[in-house]
Amino acid sequence: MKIIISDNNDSFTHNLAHLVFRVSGFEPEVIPWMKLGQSKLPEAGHLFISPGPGCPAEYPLYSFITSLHIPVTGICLGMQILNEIHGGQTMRAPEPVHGKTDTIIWQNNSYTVARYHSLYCGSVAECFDITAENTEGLPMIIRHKTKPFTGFQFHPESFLTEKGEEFIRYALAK
Amino acid sequence: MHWQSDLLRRLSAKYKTDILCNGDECTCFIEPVSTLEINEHTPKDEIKNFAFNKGTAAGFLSYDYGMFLHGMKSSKKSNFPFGVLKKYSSEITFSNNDITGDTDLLKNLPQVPQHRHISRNNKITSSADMAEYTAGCRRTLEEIKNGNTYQLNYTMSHSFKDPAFEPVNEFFRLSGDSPAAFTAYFDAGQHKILSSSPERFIKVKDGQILSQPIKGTLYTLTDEPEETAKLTENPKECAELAMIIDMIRNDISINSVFGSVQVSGFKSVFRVNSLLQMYGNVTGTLKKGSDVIDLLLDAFPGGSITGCPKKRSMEIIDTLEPFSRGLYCGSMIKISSEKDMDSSICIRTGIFDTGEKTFTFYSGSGIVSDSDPQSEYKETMNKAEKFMEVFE
Repeated sequence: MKIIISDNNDSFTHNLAHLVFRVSGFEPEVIPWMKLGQSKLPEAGHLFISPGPGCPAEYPLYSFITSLHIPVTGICLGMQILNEIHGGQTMRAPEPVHGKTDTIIWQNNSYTVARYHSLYCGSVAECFDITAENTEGLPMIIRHKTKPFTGFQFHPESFLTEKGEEFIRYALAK
Repeated sequence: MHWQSDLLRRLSAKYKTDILCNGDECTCFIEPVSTLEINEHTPKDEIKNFAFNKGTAAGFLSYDYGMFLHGMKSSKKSNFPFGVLKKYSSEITFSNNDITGDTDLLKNLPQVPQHRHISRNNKITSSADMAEYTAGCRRTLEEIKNGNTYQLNYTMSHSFKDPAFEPVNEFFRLSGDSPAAFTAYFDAGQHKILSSSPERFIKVKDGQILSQPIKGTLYTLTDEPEETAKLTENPKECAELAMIIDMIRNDISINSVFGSVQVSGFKSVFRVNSLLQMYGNVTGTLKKGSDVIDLLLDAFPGGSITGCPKKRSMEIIDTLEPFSRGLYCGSMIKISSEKDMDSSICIRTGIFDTGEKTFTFYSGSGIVSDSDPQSEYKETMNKAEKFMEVFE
């Protein structure tokens, strides 16, 4: 399977590439986000949108994803981008959390996950279900109601996240 | 580390000697035979050809070169070179039990040279006072709230003029009896490098990669478990370290075998003078088709001295700091083959500019969302303590 990771000039993108490889057995191709339009995206089996600095408004190129028919997974900024292009909103989190763990309940199990974010999906687009949130009620996992689009606010690829593979497996399975 | 200060001084008195230590051993590189000065036009292949062509290469890459690698140009002027690599006619390595290499050169050495001048009581000027530094911290905190950076390494320069400064003698005076693990002296022509760094950047031995980022600082004079716990159980300090570890994982992953990158010893603690610091080990296996130069240039500069994400943090740093970092936060490097190298992060490092007759050293601190500007100022000044003690 061809897996593309769109890199938003982040410093965790290659951790994600290695994790995706461990789960899928395929070596993802990492492409700078500005060059995503030149890639053979429709032939890909899965697109990941990496974390990154700033807010979704700085990355307008992604609006085409709403008409895309391949599975897409967004991490952190990537999830906020998926949410915004579908009509959701990004806001400042109550407090920035970087390099710290949080506990979420997901599919009846408890998971320790690593958070790196100052912003969050303050208003989640109607087409998404919130499938996990933290104790403060911040959306941590969102899933499109009809399309194969998934968002993680936390970082499955961080060494602080336990069982990061399970989240990637879940995203790839759709 | 087996530090034969007197012997090294006598050797340096007779031969042109560059010194690079790595915690376990100290290598003296004697009488350079060729030099590669790296500038913005130097192709990567030229660096490789120079480094991998027989014999060990020693030298450095500056932080400014790191900016160039990320497509940035400092807004400030600098007369410091992007990088220098040298090859030498001889080398001698001092390790715990052994002295190896061209040990014949240790015969008939002159006596330990005397200082003609000791550089003391200097009037040291810093690039920021407390008000300016804390204002920079507050601006950084605003950038964090806007999601532009998760952590940012904000630094200061400190300098003084001393026309009679003797770089080699002052290097040994600074290093004292128990030098820092990555102590180095390097002659870069107009600039003489005096490094007292405790931090490894990346080591590669037969293709096995090791990086040991340091973060988290506690000012304390005792090593009691309760004191250590103040560091290892402090959420802010642990978050700083975690973030850098994730970043180094990323940076070495580019040239590592898929799935080979691991973390061990998270929150290990060691002492530097009156500070306790934490580190972790990140390991990986160099992938086929990549060599140590590919690895070094893709991971450069070290994440522990930029912030995260690297590129945006470096852009912000350039607007915060009124000086160009030059060598500071770059790396001293030693390359022995396509699969073997070692490198430090040039913190606790000073440069004597023989043209300007000024000595400049630096210190800094990692700003995160729960940083208190006053404490960060204090930490930054604490880290300059050793240089201040020696030269002020």
